[in-house]
Amino acid sequence: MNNWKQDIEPFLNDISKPQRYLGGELNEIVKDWTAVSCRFLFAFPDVYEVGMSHLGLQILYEAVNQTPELLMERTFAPWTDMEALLRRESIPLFGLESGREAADYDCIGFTLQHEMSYTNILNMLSLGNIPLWAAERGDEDILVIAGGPCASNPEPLAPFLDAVILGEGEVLLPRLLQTIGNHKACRGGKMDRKTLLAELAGLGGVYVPSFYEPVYDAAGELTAIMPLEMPGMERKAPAMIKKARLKDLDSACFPTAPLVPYIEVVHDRMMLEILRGCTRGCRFCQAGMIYRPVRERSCETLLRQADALKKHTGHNEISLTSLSSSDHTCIKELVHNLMENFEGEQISVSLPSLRANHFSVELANEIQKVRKTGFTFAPEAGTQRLRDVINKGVTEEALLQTIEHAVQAGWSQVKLYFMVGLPTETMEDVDGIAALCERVVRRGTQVMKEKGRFGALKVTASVSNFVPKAHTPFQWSGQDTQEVFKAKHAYLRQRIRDRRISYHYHDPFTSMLEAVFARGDRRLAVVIAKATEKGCRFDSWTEQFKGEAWKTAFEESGLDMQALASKTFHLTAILPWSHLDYGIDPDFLKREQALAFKETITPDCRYHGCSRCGICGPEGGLVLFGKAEDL
Amino acid sequence: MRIRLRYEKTEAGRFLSHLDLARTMERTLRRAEVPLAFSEGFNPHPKMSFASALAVGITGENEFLDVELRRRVNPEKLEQAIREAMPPALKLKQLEEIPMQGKSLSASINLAVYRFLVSAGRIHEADVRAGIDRMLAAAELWRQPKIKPGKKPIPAKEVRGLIRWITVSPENGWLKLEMALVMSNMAQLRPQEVWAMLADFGGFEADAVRQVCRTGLYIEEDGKAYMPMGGDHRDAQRDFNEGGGH
Ligand code: SF4
Repeated sequence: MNNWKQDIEPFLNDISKPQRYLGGELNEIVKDWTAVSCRFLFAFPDVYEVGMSHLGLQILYEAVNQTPELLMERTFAPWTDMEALLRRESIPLFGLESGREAADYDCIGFTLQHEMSYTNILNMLSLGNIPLWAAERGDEDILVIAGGPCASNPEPLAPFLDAVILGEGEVLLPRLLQTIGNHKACRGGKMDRKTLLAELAGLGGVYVPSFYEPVYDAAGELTAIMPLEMPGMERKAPAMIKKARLKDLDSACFPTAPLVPYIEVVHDRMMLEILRGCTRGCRFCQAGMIYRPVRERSCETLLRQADALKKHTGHNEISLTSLSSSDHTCIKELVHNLMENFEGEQISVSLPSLRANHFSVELANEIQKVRKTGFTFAPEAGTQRLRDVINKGVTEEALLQTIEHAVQAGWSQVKLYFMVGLPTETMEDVDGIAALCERVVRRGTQVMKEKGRFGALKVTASVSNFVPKAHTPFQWSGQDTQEVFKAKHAYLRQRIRDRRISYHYHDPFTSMLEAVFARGDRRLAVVIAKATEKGCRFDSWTEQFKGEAWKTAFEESGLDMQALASKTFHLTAILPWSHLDYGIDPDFLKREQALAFKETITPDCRYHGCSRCGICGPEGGLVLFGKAEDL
Repeated sequence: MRIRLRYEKTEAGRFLSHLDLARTMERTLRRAEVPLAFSEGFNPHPKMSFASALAVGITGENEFLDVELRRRVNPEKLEQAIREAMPPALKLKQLEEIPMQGKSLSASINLAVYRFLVSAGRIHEADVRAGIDRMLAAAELWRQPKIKPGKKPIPAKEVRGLIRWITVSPENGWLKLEMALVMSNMAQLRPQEVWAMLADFGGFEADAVRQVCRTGLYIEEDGKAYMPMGGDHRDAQRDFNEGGGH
């Protein structure tokens, strides 16, 4: 078998960052190809530096490779110069470990981190000489699967995928790969594609799109997603597919000897996942719904894993990751112990996601001896009314007090995240963003003066556009139109006159595309294929984004992207993801929507009792190691 | 305690920039649990000093690094721990304790020997030899850096004094070139530049070079050259004077 890394060798001096394509990093696992029953190629649809910063990759690398009969290798989207080279020299997409071409593996799996990576997926399939459409693949062809957060509505990609993993990959992926291995072993290394897919659909958590048929009425509205008869099974595919769940995070596998890249990647540090899931219950947040319930790792486990990470990586920073790290019930003890163990060796501790409260400042103060970096908070909305609508349980006074504490502790820069276009938003709420920023600046600057410090508090307001997401209480809500978004940003731009506030906003056009795909159905597949054909790649990289090509792709497909993005679904409508069960009761989502419109908050169930989202039950529930206290 | 490392930047690491290499080295030392000494101030970093940065795309057979430790450790144990902690891009060859005070590596190194291959298909060894003879016989060699559009032209520099010797020999269907180049603060030559000048003198077209390697770094003093540490100093001497022993 060919090692394609040798074929690119003569050209490497002419391309940017060749190390992206060579592998060979510390802790790389190169297994004997012939000693395993199933070979898996993990495909990250973005560049190496982004993919290698992704903890999910490292977790799956460990989970799959620790199984003796399985092998996992990696591949990333080649940058445009490398793609040109591969096409010119007829070199296929290959795995970094063995240099084998993509089509040699038994299975290729894409992680769906965001909607703007979809053209990269199709481009990678094309570079791998893999038939694009699942229906075109035969028994000889590789199996194409996907997983990750956007798998919670994979419908726009469904016609390209043989199977989709719902829920937590470290539980399901090894099982899926073993099933492929066993299937082939029984058939002298050959695959009976249809039968294998039926076997996979039987695993639970594996969604096989070709076993379902969407039904539309004359007006083009989705009326049903019909399960079809499974080949050789004499029964239909399950009507609902339930996500795979990890009951206990504390005993779950965790990569304490992760790959350590040679070149600088986006997150160049140890990553320690301290808890999974979040029940703060922000109503726009998909992660807060699909990763439930909250499961913590114990302090002892975390300290042990941190120590192992240090020994095996040599990094000088450790990041305590999760959706909301200050919510870990033992965070204080954990941070304190880590500081004690690591400070002498100049290893810093970072907490990427903090809530706006006094406790966060205390924590940040403990870990941050250097005050160069800014403090970041996400009030998301400018008025209390709208914060109640979205269930962002932070009051203005709490935010201002937090700012005060932060400034007292020495910070002089604050970054605030907001969204425009949230359901029920009025211009008063938009104005509230500017007004809140001004109050933050005034309060902060006043504290600085009192402390005898020069200068003023600097605030960066970063304003993104609301994108309705599947499996959230706002999944039915339409997005603002482009005109409305533009008007809101224009208003804020001229409204914010204070030089101490700098205003940044996201491009509404990309947000519209995100909304279209986040809630889209299978009719969008052809648009993605056309956009890819027209050269769309790396759509999340501003300088690579080709808006005109996207517009043409939609026009040629006879679809109106604005209408799709701003469409409000009826509460009783069949949604493209109605058959995908993430454990969240649809009635809970409806209740939450109703409460949102009544401007009523739902408190975090960890501290204030169960709000019956439906996730806890015999399959597991909340796992907390300390006392639940809402600080 | 201060230690000096002699190490190799391997094939696997040839595309690392100097910054990548420095980061990789720091992590290696941390994995080996070397008690690194850190600089004072807001952003403390380990006290490490490299002999000379190596360009992207070039391997190095004998590279050097000095590291300061905050306490004494048994050098043999240290050597073993660091050797085991090295990633595929690096290989430890030798480790020695050196005096706390002493001239820095970068200030003492003033000569580098390079080796690379060129395709023997279109270029004849005799032409290369003739090119070498003519080039080294010249009293002056002027190098004009490429003028980039929109940039100020850089004045040409006289570089004959930067080339000590050059040799060529056949190797498995390739031509192997070796050259000793002076490293000075005023001017430095890259082996690829020497190859381009050589092609002009030899009257042939300069093909792409492959497998560029810096085989050693030397301190040249009173007409003698030796490595800052390691191996057999006489070898280095012969290497230096006779041009790779040919
Ligand atoms: S079922 Fe209740 S306790 Fe469990 S996550 Fe949902 S709201 Fe919280």
